[in-house]
Parts: sequence; C-alpha cells; structure tokens
Amino acid sequence: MKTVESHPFPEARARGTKALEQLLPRQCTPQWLELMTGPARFDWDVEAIQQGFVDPLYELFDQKTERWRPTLAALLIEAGGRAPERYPAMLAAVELQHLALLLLERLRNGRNIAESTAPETRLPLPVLVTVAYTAKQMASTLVIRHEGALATGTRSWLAYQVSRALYEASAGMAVDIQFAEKEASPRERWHLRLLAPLTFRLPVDCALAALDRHEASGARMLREAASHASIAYRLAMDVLGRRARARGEPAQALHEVPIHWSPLAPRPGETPSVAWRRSVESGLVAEVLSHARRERQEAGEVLATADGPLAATLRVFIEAVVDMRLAEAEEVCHAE
Amino acid sequence: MRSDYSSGFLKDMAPMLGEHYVKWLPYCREAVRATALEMKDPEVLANALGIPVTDEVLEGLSSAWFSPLLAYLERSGKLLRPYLVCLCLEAYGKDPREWRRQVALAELIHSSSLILDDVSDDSLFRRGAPSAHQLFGMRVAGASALAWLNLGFRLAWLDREALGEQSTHALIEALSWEHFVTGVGTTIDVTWAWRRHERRLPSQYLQQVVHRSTSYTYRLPLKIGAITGGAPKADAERLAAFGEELGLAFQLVDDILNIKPDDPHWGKETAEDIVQGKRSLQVLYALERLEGARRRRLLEILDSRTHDPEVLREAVALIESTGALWDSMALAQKFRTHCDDILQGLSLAPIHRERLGALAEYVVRRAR
Repeated sequence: MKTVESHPFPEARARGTKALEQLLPRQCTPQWLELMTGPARFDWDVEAIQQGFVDPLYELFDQKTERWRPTLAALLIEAGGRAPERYPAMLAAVELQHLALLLLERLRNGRNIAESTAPETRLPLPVLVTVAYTAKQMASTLVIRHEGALATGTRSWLAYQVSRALYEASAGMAVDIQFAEKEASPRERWHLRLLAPLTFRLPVDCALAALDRHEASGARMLREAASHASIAYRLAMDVLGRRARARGEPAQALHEVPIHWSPLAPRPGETPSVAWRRSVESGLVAEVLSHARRERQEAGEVLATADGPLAATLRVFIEAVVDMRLAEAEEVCHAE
Repeated sequence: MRSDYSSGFLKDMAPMLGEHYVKWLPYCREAVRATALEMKDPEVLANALGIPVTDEVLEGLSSAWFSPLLAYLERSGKLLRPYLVCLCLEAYGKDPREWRRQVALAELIHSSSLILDDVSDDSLFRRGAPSAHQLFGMRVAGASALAWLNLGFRLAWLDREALGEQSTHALIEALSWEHFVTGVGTTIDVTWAWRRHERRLPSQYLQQVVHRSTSYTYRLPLKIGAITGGAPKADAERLAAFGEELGLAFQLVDDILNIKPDDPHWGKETAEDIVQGKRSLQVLYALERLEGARRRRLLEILDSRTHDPEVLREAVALIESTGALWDSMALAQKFRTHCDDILQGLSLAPIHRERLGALAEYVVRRAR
C-alpha cells in the first residue's frame, strides 16, 4: 500500500499535523487544561491526562500520518480563497474524530472488559474508550469555542454538523457490529452511508463553514459527492485491510477502517487467510469492488453537475485519494 | 417502571420539593418517552440521519441503536434531571410543556452517560438490572450511547427558531463543553485505576469530580434549564455554579453510599468502587492516614479486584476506622452550604430558591 512518502498534497497534510499539535500540545500543561476547561478549582493531575489521553492519542497520530480529512478541508478552504491556517481548530477537530474512530475499531463486542479488549492494544479498555470519547467530544468544543474566525451562527452550525456526524457514525457502527454478530445480510448497505460522514463529508462541512457557504445552493451536492466517495474509499480499504490481515501484517501497520459487516469478513472459525482465499475465489472481492466503483461513479456524476473551484478541488482529491485506493484494491484482486 | 426502585426515595425530600417534583414527574416521564420514541418515526429518523428509512433500516436501528438506551429508560430512574429543567423553566416564567425536547434532553444525556460509565467501569448492574453492555455487548452499548449523547445537539438545533441564535449557540456550547470535560475527568479516574497511582491527592480527586460527576448530574441540566428559560446571564452563571457545588456534594455522598448503602434497593453491586480499585476521596483520606500493614492491606484489596463480600467488608472497615467517611461527609456538607450562598444571589422568587435549597438538602441526606 502506498504511504505518506507519495502523499499527493504534502502542504495541506502538514497543516493538518500542525493544527492538532497547536490545539492539543504533545506535552500537557496546566495552561492548556485551563484554556480548554477553565481555571482549576482544586488541583489538576496533569500526569494522568498526559498518560491517559495525550500519549495514547499521539501514539496513534504518529502511526497514521496521511491526514486525509484535514488535508481535504484545507484544500477546499484554499480553493475558496481563504487561508486554511486561519482555521486550525476545525482541522484538528476532523483529525481527532478520525483517530477516535480508529481507536474504537480496535475493540471487540464482548459482554465484559476481558472479552472486549483487542489483543493488539496495550491500553486497558476503560482507558481506550475514554480516550476515544474525549477526542470525539473535544472536536465540537474546538469548533464552537476556539474557531474564532467564524461567526457565532456558523460556529453553532458547524458544531452541530460535528455532532451530527458523530451520532450518524455511532448509530451506523452499532448497526454494523450487530449485523456482523447476527450474520445478517442487509439488502442495501445503508449502514455504510451512516459510517461515511466522518470520512470526507465532515471535512467538506468544515470548508463550507470557513467559506461561509454552508447555506449556498451547491453545498448539498458537495456533501453528497463526499458521502459517495467516503463509501467507495471505505470499501476499497476493506479489501486492502482484509488482504493485509490474510498476509499476517500487524494490525498497527494496517491503514484500514474496517467494516464489521462485510462479505469479506471471516466466518466463525475461519482464519483471515482462508476467508480471503474464499472471498477471492467466490467473486466476493470483485463484488465489493464493483460496489465501490458504483459509489465512486455516483460521486463523479454529482460533481459533474457542480461548478466552481470547490467542486473541482473535491474532484481532484477524489481522483488522487479514492481512485488511488481503488486502483490498489483492484490490483490486489487481479494479482490473486 | 420498577416502583420499588423509583419511588422510595421521596421520603428523603422535603415536602415542598417532593410535592413539586411529583407534580412534574408524569410530564417528565412522558417528555422523555415521547422524545426517545419519536426517533422511531420513519420520517423523523430519515430527517435525522439523511437516509431513506425502510423496514430494514428501522429494524436494524431499533435493535442496535434504540434498545440499549430504551432498556435504561424503561427502568426509569428518578428523572431528577428533566425535573430540574422544568423547575428552571417555571422559575423564569416559561411553560415546560412547550419545551418537551429540552426537558427530555437532560435525561437522555444522563442515561447515555450511565451506559458509558457502566462500560468504562464494567459494572454488572444498573437500576437493579443487568447493565447495557451485559445485554448488548460493549461496542454496541457504547456506540448506541454515544449516538444518543450527540443526538442531543439535534434536539437543541431543532428548536433553534424558538430559542433564538444566541441561546441556541449557548446551548450547543454548553453541550459541547460538558461532554468534553466529562471525558477529561473520566480520564483521570480510569488512568488512576490503570496506573495504580498511590500518591494521588484528595484535591486532585475533587478536580476530576468537578469535571466528571458534576456535569451530567446537575450542572448541565441546570444550564439547559437556565438557557432555555432565558435566565439573565448572571443567574445562568450562578445556576451553573450551584450545579457544580451540588454535583460535588452528590459525588461524595455517592462514594459513601457505594461502600455503605443505606437502602436495600441501592440497585448496584455493593462496594463496586472497591472492586474496581477506585481511589475515591474516602480511599485517599484512608491511605493518607493508615500506616504499615493496615495500609498495605487496603492497597492489596483495592488492587485485587475481588468480589468477595467478606474482603470488601474488611476494606470498608479499614476506611471507616480512619474517619475518612465522616470527613468526606463533612466536606459534602460544606459544598451544600456553598449552594445556599449561591442561591441568595439569584434573581428568582423565594419559592424557587427554596426548592433549589431543598434539592441541595436532599442530595446530602439521600439514602440512595
């Protein structure tokens, strides 16, 4: 899989990295805590926040360095004629959401802590879920309290969109896991549509807010195209992730955002490599890629009806990122 | 509703508060129920999620998203949080019946936070029945609760025309900040249990309580009530401060009841905090005061995660022998006194201030 060495938008990516480091310093201090939560009434245990929040988050942040979400937001803001560095809080917010989702994806759905913690994570489950929760909820706080370049009403709108993406994705995740547990086969993969917003739709919302175009007529089309592109991306990543697992690559090194209900998921008692072989031979991998291609095509069709620099930039981003992953997944499929 | 769980506590309330609470309780219950069940309406759901709602979608969401929360709502707790919103609305001349969603919001957030708390603590029971993750699994319960917590923003957003731009902004800001600081407070709580820190200070425990326990219990419901009720800025700030003092007192009393429940219907495992090795205020006081073998024994029990009732009783006796429970209660009383000072500055009619004062008294006198 291609890595950051071939990142197509290095400057925008660097802005995403810088934004998070600015809003969540790698070294927790009483000053940062005061900025985010208000003056200490008693005594902060700064060390506990460092160990139980900042360090685990940065460990993941340093592993996953693509920063596609803040990259997309920064590219769109720039295309709209504004400087992305004026909006660090929203760039940090979309990356935080992504990191939180990745953390939660590492868990199993057990009925108690012992059954639920994935073997590859060193964090105890209560700490891991708390890191994810705090990161998710920090995102809307960043937007509404620290994105000073936005008007009051726009900040409210964007904070609502952040929370909306969260409840859609959380509901989608709950359904996704339950479909997988029940071995159900949804006729339409509608739950993927709920999981999509946190991928590329929220960065589009951030840019629309920064450009004060969230109520403009073309906003709906951009959001719709981003949602289709998100599903295509996730499906391609599912193929790449399943194959990587089949080859025994360590989970920490995977760039996947798994879908729990997936035709590619191993059946009970099946190893990842056997499941992968079965999926390839039965045509399931090709079917998933075909679905991904349809979603990608729909994104393109929606964008074809939209004019202006934002649509053009989203198109370029999809071609560079989604098409890259789709091509990799198809290459894998053909090689098998 | 389990009547044995939900009604016995009224005896702990002053009559003037109890009567008012009983007056609003049916409406609170209906507001919460209607707001939660409204989400099952295909049109409402389609608008909230932005996807077409077929039978399959409805069935999938009912099972995975709605069920964990509805399981808690059906066991109905005291509904004190929506009642607090009603109390504030009435105090500022608003009719709570015109603000159903905001009344329900406080309970939906509270119940969702209980699910997350139970996941985090791996609690076996809640309100006398199995916890949500025992029924649905950790991830389904957690994702469901997170979805409900954040759906609260939508409830505020839907009423934005009636609320006006400034109040909508204030409400969304309050929700954002309270959700976030709850995470910061919880971080300290779970990190202490993870790293088994022994040198933590009582003042650090109180700081995490300010952010964790005071939020969903009292500070946020009072903020929702004050903002929706259109309270003057100074009053809104005082009500938030009142909620914080009340939340501090509540948590210290809760810690004491956790290891020494005073009611057969406590609804949780007895001494659950000791099972989980929590360094609550009373434990930190005890660790400061115990020496030698007795101190080592308490630490050993806290780190053992034992469920053995005899060993748990031994730990409680060790803590109690140091006067830690007494001192925790005295501090709770101090926070309760702060409540009275804050109430004096509110621009409300005496009856509303008296009700809030009676609530503070109830919080420190309650048996569960």
